[in-house]
This record gives sequence, structure tokens and C-alpha cells, in this order.
Amino acid sequence: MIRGERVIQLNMALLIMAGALLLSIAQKDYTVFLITTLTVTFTLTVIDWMRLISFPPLVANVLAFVVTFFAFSQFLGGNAGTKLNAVANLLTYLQLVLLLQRKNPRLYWQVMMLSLLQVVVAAALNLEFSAGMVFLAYITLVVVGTIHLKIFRDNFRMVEAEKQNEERLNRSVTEPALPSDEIGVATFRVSRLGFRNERKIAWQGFLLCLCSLFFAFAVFYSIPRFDAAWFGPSVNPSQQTGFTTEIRFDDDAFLRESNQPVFRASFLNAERRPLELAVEPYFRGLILLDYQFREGSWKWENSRNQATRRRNQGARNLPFPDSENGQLIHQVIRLEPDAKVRLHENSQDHLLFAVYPIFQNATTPEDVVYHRQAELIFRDFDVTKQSENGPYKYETLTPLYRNLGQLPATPYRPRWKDAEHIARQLMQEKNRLTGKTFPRFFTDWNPIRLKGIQIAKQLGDSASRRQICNRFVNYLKTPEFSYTRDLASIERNSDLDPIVDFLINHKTGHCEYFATALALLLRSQDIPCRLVSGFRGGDYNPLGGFYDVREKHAHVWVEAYLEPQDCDEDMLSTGQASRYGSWLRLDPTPGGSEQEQESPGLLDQAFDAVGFAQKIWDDYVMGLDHESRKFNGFDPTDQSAATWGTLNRVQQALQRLYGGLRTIPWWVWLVILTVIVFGILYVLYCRARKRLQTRGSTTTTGTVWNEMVQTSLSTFRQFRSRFSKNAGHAGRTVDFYEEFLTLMKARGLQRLPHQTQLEFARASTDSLLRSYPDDQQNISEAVSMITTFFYAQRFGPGLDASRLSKARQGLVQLKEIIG
Amino acid sequence: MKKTTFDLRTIRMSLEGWYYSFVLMFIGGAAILRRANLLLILAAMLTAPLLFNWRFVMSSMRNLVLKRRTPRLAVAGEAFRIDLTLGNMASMDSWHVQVDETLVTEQGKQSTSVAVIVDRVPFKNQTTRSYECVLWKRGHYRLRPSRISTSYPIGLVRASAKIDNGESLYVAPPQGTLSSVWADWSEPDEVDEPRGLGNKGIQDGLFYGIREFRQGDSRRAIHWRTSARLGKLAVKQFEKQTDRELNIVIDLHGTPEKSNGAELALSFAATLMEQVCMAGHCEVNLLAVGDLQRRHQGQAGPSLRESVGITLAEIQADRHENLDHRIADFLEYGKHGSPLLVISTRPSIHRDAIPLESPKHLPYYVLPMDEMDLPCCWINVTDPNFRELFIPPETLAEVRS
Repeated sequence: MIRGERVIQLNMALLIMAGALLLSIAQKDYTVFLITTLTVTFTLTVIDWMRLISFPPLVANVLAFVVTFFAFSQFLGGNAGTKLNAVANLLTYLQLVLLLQRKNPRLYWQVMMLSLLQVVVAAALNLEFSAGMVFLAYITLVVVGTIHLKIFRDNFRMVEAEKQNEERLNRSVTEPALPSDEIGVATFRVSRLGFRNERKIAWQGFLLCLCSLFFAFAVFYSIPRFDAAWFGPSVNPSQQTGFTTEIRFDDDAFLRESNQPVFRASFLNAERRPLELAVEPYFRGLILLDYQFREGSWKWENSRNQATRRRNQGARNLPFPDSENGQLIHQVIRLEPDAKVRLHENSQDHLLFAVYPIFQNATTPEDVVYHRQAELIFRDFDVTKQSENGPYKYETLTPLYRNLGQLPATPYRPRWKDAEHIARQLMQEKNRLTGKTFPRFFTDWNPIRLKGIQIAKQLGDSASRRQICNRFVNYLKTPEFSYTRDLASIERNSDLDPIVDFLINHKTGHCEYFATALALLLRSQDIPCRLVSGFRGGDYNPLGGFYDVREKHAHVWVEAYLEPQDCDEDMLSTGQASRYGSWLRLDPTPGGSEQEQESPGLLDQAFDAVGFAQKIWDDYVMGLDHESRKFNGFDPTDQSAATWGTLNRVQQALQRLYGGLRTIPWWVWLVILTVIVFGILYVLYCRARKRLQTRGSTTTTGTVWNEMVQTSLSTFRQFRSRFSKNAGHAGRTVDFYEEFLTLMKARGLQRLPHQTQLEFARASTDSLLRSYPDDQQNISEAVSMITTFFYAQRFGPGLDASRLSKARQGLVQLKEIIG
Repeated sequence: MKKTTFDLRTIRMSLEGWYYSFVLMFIGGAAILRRANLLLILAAMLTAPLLFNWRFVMSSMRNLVLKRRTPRLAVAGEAFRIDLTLGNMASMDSWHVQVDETLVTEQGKQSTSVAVIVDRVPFKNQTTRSYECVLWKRGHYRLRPSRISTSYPIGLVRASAKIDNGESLYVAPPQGTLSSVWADWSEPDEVDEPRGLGNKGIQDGLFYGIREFRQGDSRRAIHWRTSARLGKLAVKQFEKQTDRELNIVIDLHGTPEKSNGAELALSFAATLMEQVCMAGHCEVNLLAVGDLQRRHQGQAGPSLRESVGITLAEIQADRHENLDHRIADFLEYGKHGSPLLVISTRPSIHRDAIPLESPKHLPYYVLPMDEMDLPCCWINVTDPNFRELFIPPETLAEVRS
């Protein structure tokens, strides 16, 4: 085995696995990674290490042809994503086929190139943050791998040349006639060559990676950006979230409880500092009006959503806030590419989520459109400027309620301006939202109506609508009802309406059951209401100041219409109600906003850190655009702002640091200082003890302290002489010779009192040559030079800086040899 | 030592570098055309090693010096060593420096080359590596100027520089084995030639060198200045001079194409000269006659061995005439009565040469010359009996063994 071969084998194995892992992360399918890991392990052990078998090139070529054919069949007939995946898989298979052969540098290089192309495909398939770390590791492996490959290639070539020379020499023995075209053989024996400086090579590899990172950073952030972030082509088969435009209660209906991110929401104050809301925010998506039996199951839907097909009729820009809206905060939402809920199959427009009421500001994208009829916001693809493939980021305004959170109610906004139309609209709304338009209202939901009357009666006849709403909510939150997502374990009566069954019989369900039950109870009391589906809460990340809203946070709640006479002054003054009424948010699902708040543990903090890193990755790497760079002062198109913005930030950070340090009491500094001093002493003690152990000396406390002091003094002398003006003619002691003596002492060679320096040099050279016969010349030269320079320094004429430097280098060389 | 001068023209992209660049351009192009940030980062991260490699090789090649130590004379079929010392005058280490060496025949038609890798040359320091050569045939060779190069650390870009250190190398004929009759051939016949050399004191010889003082050395021989410098006693050493003289004529008659005996004669001459020079204690006059005519005269020793070896390396057979006159001219410079040995590719030039009964069983003749008859030992290498006097190197394997 050629020296360094094992290193390159391991390096390449890790490289291929990292590449496959990246691809798997991008594909969201780990089959390729699994196959690669198994194959790499097999080839590494059986083919490379044990050398039991290997595939001849012909077989490997046939295999390559087969996998190409297989990948080509995948390639044909698919969409862009399938095609790219087929190419990626082909690259993986080709790497694995190459691995089955006996290795040489060319083959390793081919593997590396294929792996690089594979990562290109992975990057085109879009990498998430989790792949970012693997990506860095991959680049490190590439860089270190190229260094190792370079060394291995040299070694391999040398060994091959040596073999050829041996053959030529042997041929000349067996064939007395000299080859006419050869004049002889020149051989360089490679036994000395190899990874003699592994540590230095590893350090260089690390430095190279660091340089690459900084270079990439500089290039990436210095390229001007004038538009949206570059997310690349969207070819990844998207995994849509479970969010749908209707709610069904049949047996197939289920709730997803995955951690798949849907969007990330930040609430920023006027200074754009993140806020954590005191109550969980409700991100509204769709409004569902009609609960009816259609297509074989009971379901909620909103026929008005159909109107979005004619979006130009009902769509308009978001309203601007006015003075009645009170304190406003920014809500910045970044919707994941997979979480785009299309309003219709034939349209690219997709639903947007937000905390309501919602207003636009200067930074609201033009493509955020409010649909008046459907009362939702969506993204208009006709005017969008952001990348259609990446995540979608939008910013709006929403009022902040008493510095706590979102408003408990939103004002009713009629679609018409004249009173006659408004009155008609209100009447229609009321009729529809009380369910009276539904023909089987009184027959099917009679048990619910009776239940509603029974509960409402407890409040007396003078109870306001708001009191009735709250009473119903409280009723559903009694321990009588329990929350579950597992409906399969519940005994249900399929002859009954599922909500009647829930309310009267099993009393177990999830948010859809609770919300529907509340809605039907309210409607039974002539209180207009509607169902709202969206997301509640999210995982708040205190480091990044944002909510990570995942699929499991999907939620359904109810909004009840309060007529103007039901709205108090407070509601009007805080912008919760208009003069036409208000939509009161009611969440009957148990364990809602009152979820237990535990203090975050270490694991939570770690997850928060990862989440924050994810945000950085998303905003400033994957999603770097004109705005995000401008915000961070990295905009080369605006030099002055960039420079002063950055300088100001640095200055502010330093001031904060200084202010923070000043608040630390003196005794803390004392403790820190003591810890540092004892830490240094401990390290010195350990090093001195190790030195003594290496020499085979006794390691009592006294000897270790003595050694420690001696070494420290010697180091101090060296340090002083190095910076002394008369370093070349320093005093009577010659520091490099002292060091040489110490080095020799460590090897068990000590200058005897009667020995001159020259005699000691001879004796020590002889002794060293016995131990290191390969470095004969270097040892002799180094010892001789040190001794000669010692004489010159000690007895004149002295050494100039260059010769002194040479003496030190000789010492370093000697140290390297005898280690 | 020659210092490398850096020249941009010596920067080359390796084949791997071209592949790498192609992939890099592909990634960069895809990043821009497909507007993908991640591909842009990947392209930037892959560009950095390329630039770093370029910068690193440039820095590594600057201030490198190369010293080559080559023997002036080698022997065909025997391995000889060439030392390469790379010095690094820069302030950073140079890694994996490759030194390409090429040996060519004088005409430059045939060559052999070797690449020597020096894994590390520490800064302000030097590193020596050696390579071995075996050349099949005698002759005059040239070591072309060395080319040093490095593509460390990742082998994508290679910087190289040419060091103007071309030099000559002579390869002497291969040596065979002399039969026992040659063991004391160079010793004078006790009857005819008395031993002329006595111990005339240490100052009587030529100055040879300085060595350490040994017990028994004369204090007169101590070289005080060197002793003071070395810190130990050193004495002057002298070569003993001798009055004995050997006259050798190498006669390569024929054509280079049709003279198998020439190589044999040269091999024999080289072997004989090796023995004589190793033994020393005599003065040698040598005349080589072939396509060129050269005369060597001097004390048997390394210096003479080298100069004769060079002649034996270069000379070719030729159809020359008037050998007897050349011998006569040659002998004019020699001492009277010294033995003459003619190594020739033909029988004696005089048909009437009278064979002598030699106590050493060598083919002695008396050659009738113009002024006087000359006794000489005439070795015809084409004579079948010559094999009893000299076993030539039949194969290179034998040569090496």
C-alpha cells in the first residue's frame, strides 16, 4: 500500500457520504444516502482494506452502462424535478460503480468531480439550513481531499515510476541485449516521501477551508443585488402542508401533527425590534361560513372562496391604517415554499396568513392582495416580484392591543359604502351566519339548539350576546370535554351529525369539533358566527425574536359577530369594533392560550439556537436580497450608508460591551483573575510533569515545580533576548545553545564538565545518528552549525541577525527530527 | 546555487485544474443563469482553493535555490547517486517541490528522466534528496537544466522554473575482472627494476590533505592554524612519490560500427586503470588512440582515474595509421626502461615482432622501432586467449553484481 492511501480512502469515503447526505436532504428522501453508506462501507473494507475482491474495469463499465440506462429511463417522461433527481441519482450510482474498482488517483479524481456535480444538483434542489452544516463539512472534505489526493497522486506516480524502473532493470538482466531506445534508468526512491507532516497538512487544509469560507463570504456579499433573493429553480417535489380550504368530518379526515415548518413570523415595533406577544397570536387563513352535508360528509366551506377566481372584482390592496387603529406593529412573515396553499388548482395565487386586522405600509409587497368578499389575503402572481420558487416574505401592519398582543376582536368592515347596501349586506350576513339558510337547520341540529338554550338560560334573559358567547366557550372548556387528535379510539355514532354526537355523546375531539360545536351553539342562539382556520401560536424563539409556526400549530377557531350595541366603548376606542359591529374571536378548544409555560431547558435553548441559525441561513444566505443586505449594511451600491451603518453598529456594540463590563462587581473580576492564574499554573504544571515523564525522571511535586520554574525562566530569557536590541550580541549566555543543551538533555545527553562544546557536539551527533540514521546529513549540519555559531556568539565576533536566525532554524530542524 | 526567477509564463493549469475549472464554470454559470444563491456560494467556495493554489505555488517557487551534486565520472552499469539540495530563502515553507531531471546523450537523441519530490523545504533552510542512475553505455552525457515545480496544495495550478544548471557527465566503460596474472603486473620486476622508493620523510611527497592527529604522527606535521580553527590537532598528509612508471597505449583500430573489440579493449583498460589507481605508488603515462588521440600523464590516483575515465568514455574506434610513430613520440616523454603495455583491437602492428618468454605469462614482444627495439606487452583483445587474462562484463547483471 502506498503511503497516504488509507488517508485518501477514508477522505473519499466521507466525501461521497457527505455528498449523498446533501442530496438526500435536498430530495427529502434518504434512500440514496443509505445505499451510498452501505456501498462505501463495503468497498472500503472489502475492496480497499482487505483487498479481497475488486471489479475489473470491463464489469464496472457494464455496470455504469446499466445504471445510466436506469437513470435515463427515470429521466424520460418526468417533470423538471424528476429529471434533476434522475441526474443526481445517476451521479451517485456512477460514483459507487467507480468505487468498486481498484483505486488510482485518476479514479479518485473522477469520483470527486462526480461528487461535486452531485452537490450542484443538490444545491439546485434547494438546501435547507440542516444541510448547511453538512455543506460546510463537505467543502472541508473537498479541500482536504484535494490536498491528500495531490500527495497521493505524487506518491502513486513515484511508486509507479519506481516499479517501471525495477522492471527495466530486471528486463536488462534477463535480456542481455540492451534496449536500443534506452540509455539507462534513473530512480527516485519514494520511501521517504509521504505524510510525514500530517499535522501541518491538516492545519493547512483547515486554513484553506477558512480562506475559502471568507472568500465565499466576501464574494457572496459583495455582488450587487437589485431584486429578490436567488432561490434557484424550483424542482423539488413539494410536500404540501396539510392545510386545506375546507374542513371535513368524515372518517378520512385527520390532523397532521408534524413539525414541518409552515411560516416564520416576527412582530417588530417601530424601531424594528422583535416583540414577543403576551398571548399566542392567531394567524388567520381562511374564513369558513357554511356547515352542511355535501359529497357524503359534513364539512365547512366557504362558497365565497369561489369568488377569488374572479379576483379582480373583489381584490384590492390592503387598507392603510388610520389614527383609530392605535399602536401598530409590523408583522413580517416568511412563508415556506412547501406551505403555499393554492386557492384553486388552475391558479398560482396562494393564500397568505396574518394576524388580523391587517394594514399595509410602505414595505408591504405589491403582490399582497386583500379579497374583500372572501376576507382573505393572497399573493397575486401577476404582479409578484419575488422568486416564485423560494419562500415568500411579506410585511404588513397590525394593531398592538395594550402592549400585550393582538386584538381580541376585529372590526366589521362592510363591503359597501352607502347605508342601504350596508344594511342589506348585514341582513344577508346574519341570515347566512346564523345558519337559517340551511334547510335542515332545525331538524338536524335540534339537540344542539336545545343544549344552547339550556346553557344560555343559566345566564338569564338579560344576558348580552358577549356573555352568551363566553358562556358557551366556558362550557366547552369544562372538564366534561376532552381534547384528542386520535379519533379512532372514540366510539362514535355514525347516524348522527358528528358535532351532535360530539356535543351530546362522546365529548372528545380536536379543535375542529370544538369550534364547530361552538359555532352551532352560537347559531342556535341567533348569534352570527363563522369558522376561521389558520394557525395558533408557534414556537417562539427568544434568540431570533420570531415564531416558528409549524404544521402542528394548525388551528380552527370561531369569530362571532357582535352588533354595534354589543360593542362597548373600549372596543371602539381600541379599534376592535367599527360602528357596524365587530368580530369577536372565540377559541373553545381546551389547552389553548393557557398552555403550560415551562422554563426552557438546555435542550430548548439548543433548539432555539438552531432555529436562530436557521433564520440567519434563510435570511442572509439563501434569501439574501436587496432589502436584507441593506438592513445589515452590506450594500455595495450604497457605500456611505454601508460604511457608516457598519461603523455605527460596531461602535454601539463596543459601547454596550463596555457598559456591560462596567456593571460587573470587583469581586467577580478577582474570581476571574484567580481562575485564570490558577489555570495557567495548572497547565504549566501538567506540561512540566509530562516533560519529566518523557525523560523518565521522577515526578515528585518538588521536581515538577523546579522544572516548571526553570522552563519559565528559560522561556523568559529567550523572549527577552528575542526583543533585545543587542540580540546578536546578547550577554554571556547563548540562548539557542542553552535550548540545544535542554533538547539534548531531554534525549539523555548531557555535556560533562570536562567536555568542550565541540566534543559534546561530536558525542551528541554520534549518539543521534545511531537513533536517526536517515537524517544523517541534517543532524550533523544542524549540530555543527549550532556549535559553530555558539563559539562565534560566545567568544566573538558575534552573530548578525541572519546567522542568529539560521542558528534558531537549525535548532528547530533538530527538534523536528528528534521530535 | 542558482536562485529561481519567477516568471508568469511558468504558471500552468494542470489537467485536473482544467477539469476543476470546467466544473467551476458550470456551477458559476448555473448560479447566475438559474439565480441560485447556494450555487453562488458553492462556486465562490470552490474558486477560493483555485486562487489559493495559484498564490501558494507562486510564493513557494519564489526564492528557491537548487544545488546539484553530480559525479563527473560514472561507470556504465553501476549505480551512481545525484544529490539535489533545495534551499528556501523565503519566509514560508515550500511543499512538495518536484525536480525534473533529464539525462541525454551528447547528441541529444536518447534520454532518461526522473522526477524527484521534495516533500518540504523549511523556510530559511535546505533539504537534500538523492536519486540513483544506472546508465547502460559509456559515453558523454548531459544533464539538462533542472526544472523545479510545485502544485501544492491541491494540484490544480503548477508553477515551474528552469534552473540553468546543465552539466556534463561522463560514463566510463564497464569494468570486468582481471585474471590473477595482473595482480602484480604493475609491480616492477625485481631483477630488472630495483625498488626505487624509500622513506624519504614526510615532506618528500605531494601535499594531499589534512587529517586528524593520530598517535605516532610527527609533531612537525601538525598544521597549527587548522588545529586552532578546529579545536583539535590536525596534521598535514603527503602522498608518497615514486620513480616507477607505467606506459600504456590504447589502440582502438577499426570503425565504430565494426569493432566489437573496441568496447572490450576499453573495458579492459578501465578495469586495469582502476586497479592501478587504487594501488597507486606509480606514475602512469597513457596514450589513447582512436577517433581522437589523448595523452595522460600523472601519479596514479583519483585524479588520473577521472581524466582517463573521461577519455575512455568518449573515445571511439578509428582506422588510424602510424601507430609506431605515435608510440615513439609518446615514449619520448617517459622514463627510459619503463614497461610498455599496448591494449589493442588488432595483432601487433609489426609482423616481425619477436615474442619474449615472460615470467608473468603475458604476451611480451620486442617491437622493432626506428632507433631501437622496444620490448612491450601487446594485448590483442580479439585474440581468443585474451579471455584468460580478462573476464569481461557479459551482461549488465554481471556488471552490477
